Amino acid sequence: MFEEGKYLSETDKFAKLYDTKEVKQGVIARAKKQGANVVYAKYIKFKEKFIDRARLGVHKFFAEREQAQINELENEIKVANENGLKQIQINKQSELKYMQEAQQEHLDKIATIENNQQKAQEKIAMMQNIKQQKDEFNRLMKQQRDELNKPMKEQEVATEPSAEVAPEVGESTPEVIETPIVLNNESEPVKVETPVVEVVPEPIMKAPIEDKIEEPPVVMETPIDMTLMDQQVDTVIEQQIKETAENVEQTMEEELKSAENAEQTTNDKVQNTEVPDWMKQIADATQVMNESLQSIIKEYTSNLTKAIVVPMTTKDQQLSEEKQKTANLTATLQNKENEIVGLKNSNSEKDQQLEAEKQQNANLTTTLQNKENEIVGLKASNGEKDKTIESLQASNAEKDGMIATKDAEILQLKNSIQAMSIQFQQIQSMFANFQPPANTNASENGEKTMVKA
Amino acid sequence: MPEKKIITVVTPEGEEIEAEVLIFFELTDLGKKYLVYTHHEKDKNGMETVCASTYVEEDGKAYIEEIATEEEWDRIKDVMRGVIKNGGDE
Repeated sequence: MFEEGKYLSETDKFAKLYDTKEVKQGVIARAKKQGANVVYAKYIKFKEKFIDRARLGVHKFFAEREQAQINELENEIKVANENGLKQIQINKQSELKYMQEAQQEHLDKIATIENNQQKAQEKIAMMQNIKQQKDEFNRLMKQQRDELNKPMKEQEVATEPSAEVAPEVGESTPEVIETPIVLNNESEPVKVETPVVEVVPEPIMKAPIEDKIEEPPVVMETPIDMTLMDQQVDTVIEQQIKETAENVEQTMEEELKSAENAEQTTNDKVQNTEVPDWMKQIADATQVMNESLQSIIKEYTSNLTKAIVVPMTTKDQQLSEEKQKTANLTATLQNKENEIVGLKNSNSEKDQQLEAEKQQNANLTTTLQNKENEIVGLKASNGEKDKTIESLQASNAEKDGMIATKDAEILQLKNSIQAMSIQFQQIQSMFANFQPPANTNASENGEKTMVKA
Repeated sequence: MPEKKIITVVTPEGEEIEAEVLIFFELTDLGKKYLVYTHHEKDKNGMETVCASTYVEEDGKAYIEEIATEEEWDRIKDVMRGVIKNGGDE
């Protein structure tokens, strides 16, 4: 069925190796069921290179053995040729040809496997090279970024990002590299597109602001209550607005008062003294100016007040709402606290109840223990009484025995008495029949009377 | 001619799985033949699983079965080591 195998004498003198082509194309796994598993093989794990070595090992083994046979055949052909054994020579040459073809087949397979190994190693070397290049590139990029970021940090700058100054960093047109790759025995080269990245460093000051974004963000370790912050800000703004408005009003009032005072003083002076016409004209003009100024100031103040009052009202409203909310929350909190207090009280009561129940249980346990002790005592007492009863019963039995003995004795005595009575009767009858001569008298009716001595 | 011998294994569940035969040999003292083959399954460490089964031909059909004893399995591993050793100098 199989071609002649060859012994692996170095490993196992009984192991005979066959060419793998002898195996049928389709095989059916016949399994034995072991628990939940269906088992038809044992397995071991190897690194991939050892799998290749196993493939090579088989072919090398056959190639070596075939070489030995070829040498032998060649020698035989030589002998046959020297001795003119044509037919044997022809047969041996045929065998030799067959053997050489078989060997060549194995040698070809060895060459293919070794070639594939070589290509795989080259591929690995190339991949390692690419990886090294990538690592180097990443290192350089990091170095460049660090250099770019240093001055940015120091100056806190203010360079605006500009499209003109953006560095040309990125993927350029992919370069096609023909890379041989080992895949399922396909030894044809596979085209791998490897992106080539070019870096054009720019002057430091022209660095784009985006680079700063890559800096690690500042970690805010302390949490901030934004609501509280907002409230604080609102309060400050509100206060400032109020203060400002009040100040403005106050200033305006003071100015108006001083203007009025000044006017009054001027009028008084005018009234108290004779003034020239030009001064009257100036006074009139001043009056007009004052009135005009007063109306402007009033209007300004009014507008300002309106402008301030509206947001203030809104803020007041918000404040009022917030206060209301706070009040509500406070009330809720108070309720919750009351509930908690109630619950605590309830818990306290329950604890007390529990304590009382525990005490009751303890008392009951004690009572139960006492009862158990009593039961034990009673049991012991019963035991003693049982013993007494047993002894009494034994005594009774003994007495019954004695009574029975006495009864027997009485019966015996009765029997004796009976016997004696019978004897007595016999004696009596004997005495009755006995008639002493002297003492015997016949009665008138002829009866005889015995006279007692 | 391909340097690999690829066969189809029909599992007990009826599934057909390809396998590459690495070593085919006989232990003549036991009168049993064995297949060493791989489904090219790798674990997370990149190690490839290599299986071994008893090889039987009956009525023109080929079957693989479990290795019967641990002694057989040890000898199969020895054969594997011998072949691998023959395949490389490392």
